[in-house]
Amino acid sequence: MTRGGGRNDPDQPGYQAPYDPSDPRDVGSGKDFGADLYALYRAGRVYFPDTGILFSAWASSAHDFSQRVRFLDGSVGGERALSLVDQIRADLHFALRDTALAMRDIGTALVQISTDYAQTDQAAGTEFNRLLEKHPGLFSGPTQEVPQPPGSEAPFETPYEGPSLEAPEPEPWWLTELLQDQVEDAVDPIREGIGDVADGIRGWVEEQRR
Amino acid sequence: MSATFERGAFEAALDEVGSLLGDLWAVDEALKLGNADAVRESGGNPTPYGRVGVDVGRHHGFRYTVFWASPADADGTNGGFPSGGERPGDGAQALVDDLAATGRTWGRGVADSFRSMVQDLVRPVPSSFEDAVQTMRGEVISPLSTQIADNFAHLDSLSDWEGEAADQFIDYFYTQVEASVRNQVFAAEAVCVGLAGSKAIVHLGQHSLMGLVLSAKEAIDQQLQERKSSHEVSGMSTSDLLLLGATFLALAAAIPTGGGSLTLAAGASAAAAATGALLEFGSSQVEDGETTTFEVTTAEETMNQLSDRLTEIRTRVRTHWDQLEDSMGELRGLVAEAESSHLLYPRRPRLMADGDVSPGGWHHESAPR
Repeated sequence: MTRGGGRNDPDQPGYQAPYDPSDPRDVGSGKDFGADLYALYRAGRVYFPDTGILFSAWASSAHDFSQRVRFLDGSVGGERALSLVDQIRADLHFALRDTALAMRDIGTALVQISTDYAQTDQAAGTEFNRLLEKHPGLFSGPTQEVPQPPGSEAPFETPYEGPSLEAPEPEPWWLTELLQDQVEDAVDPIREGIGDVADGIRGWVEEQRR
Repeated sequence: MSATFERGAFEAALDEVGSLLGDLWAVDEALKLGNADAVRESGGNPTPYGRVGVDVGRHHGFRYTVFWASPADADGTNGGFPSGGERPGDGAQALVDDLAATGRTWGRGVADSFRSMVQDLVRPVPSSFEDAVQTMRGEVISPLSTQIADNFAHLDSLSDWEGEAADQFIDYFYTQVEASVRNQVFAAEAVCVGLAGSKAIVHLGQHSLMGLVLSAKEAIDQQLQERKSSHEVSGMSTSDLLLLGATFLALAAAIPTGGGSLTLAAGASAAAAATGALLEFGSSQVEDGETTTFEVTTAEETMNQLSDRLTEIRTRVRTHWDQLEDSMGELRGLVAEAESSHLLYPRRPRLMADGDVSPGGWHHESAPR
């Protein structure tokens, strides 16, 4: 397949499929064939990469999520239930990653098949190019690249820092007790003084009664 | 007693239990000094002794008269005491103060020992489990459930294509994407239900522990107040203690592990419901559960009760972890089975073999075959 720029590159805006009368393959013919080829091209050029990008991002999230599961597992001292949770997460990560890669690769294949077959039949090629020109907005940019989703050993895109597992620093016990002792030391003479005054008043009252 | 767990409050309450416990021990030891029978039991003879008043107790202090074998106290002179310094009774007070210091050290040791035994129960932060669930829901489950439509690539004339490669693409991949997505959602929900279940277990362990420490604090404090009023070791303080757990067992039983009848897509919504219920269990004050009584007379009994009740809490927490482990094992089995049956992600068609697709493997219905 010829890939240059502009009209000859199926991954760039403005692409038009050439007709090659010398191509002997008969894989279809006519306007409907051209319309079906256009649908394959559109799927491979736009929808599969767009979907692949989504799955790649979800795969990345599932990969980053392992940090949280491991943090939580560590916080409870290591529990088999949470290690099973992480295994399910790893299964999910693998499934999302594989789906992302499949979307990317199949999208490439659909573009390849549709542009390859469009040059084998003039009527089909004409319809294919007409539909491309009719929907320029769909193909206004180059084919979106699906980011490589991370493998299980890849660095994390968003590092996770869990909350502190340490207990808040308590007031030192000696300070509490020192303060308590100081208060008692201060209060005791006052209490005794008040007691003496009360005794004095009581005595004076009794004396007055006599 | 059920109480909201907060790490700082728990640590402070535990320190206070240690302090009260040490005080109770020291008060009871001091009370023996004023009890003629106890003095006799310890080999002494109280009759010729003098009696002096001492200050006893730190939390609920009181004045108490003890027997004291000091010549000064026995004959009413200042006999054995250095002139101008110590007063009669200073020796007795010093002994009581020593007992208080010993009790304080012992009580602090009990608290520290208890603290080290419950580290794995009090260390986890429940909100971090819920945060993780919300992250999985927000970043994966919600968009995955809504953004991948059936026929996402708008291929409306798939039946116009023929050949082995075309069939593989259609049958193995394109028409399987939606079903695979539903199963991926199930796997993500299974992760969430495991985390929500873990949060519920952490919650019940922490709240039971908080209840235990507060019950112990209340009971010991009552005993110290009784010592102050009666000046003797008697009576028993009790405090009800709630052991959470019964509700969790019912919730955990709702985790869909299916057996042969479960379709993963149906299981996803059941798992989401179970996650919601388990998170709710952890976020609200749950009053359901058995209660047990914390009974205390002496410091040693209190320490033994603390140890026994902690064992009960640990046993319950262990039972819940085991149950969650069983459920997660079954869920993992379902996900693994889906993976090996090509239901968790669609199989790749062989479109790119040798860099091209052969006309025989992929052609239009309009081609003469």
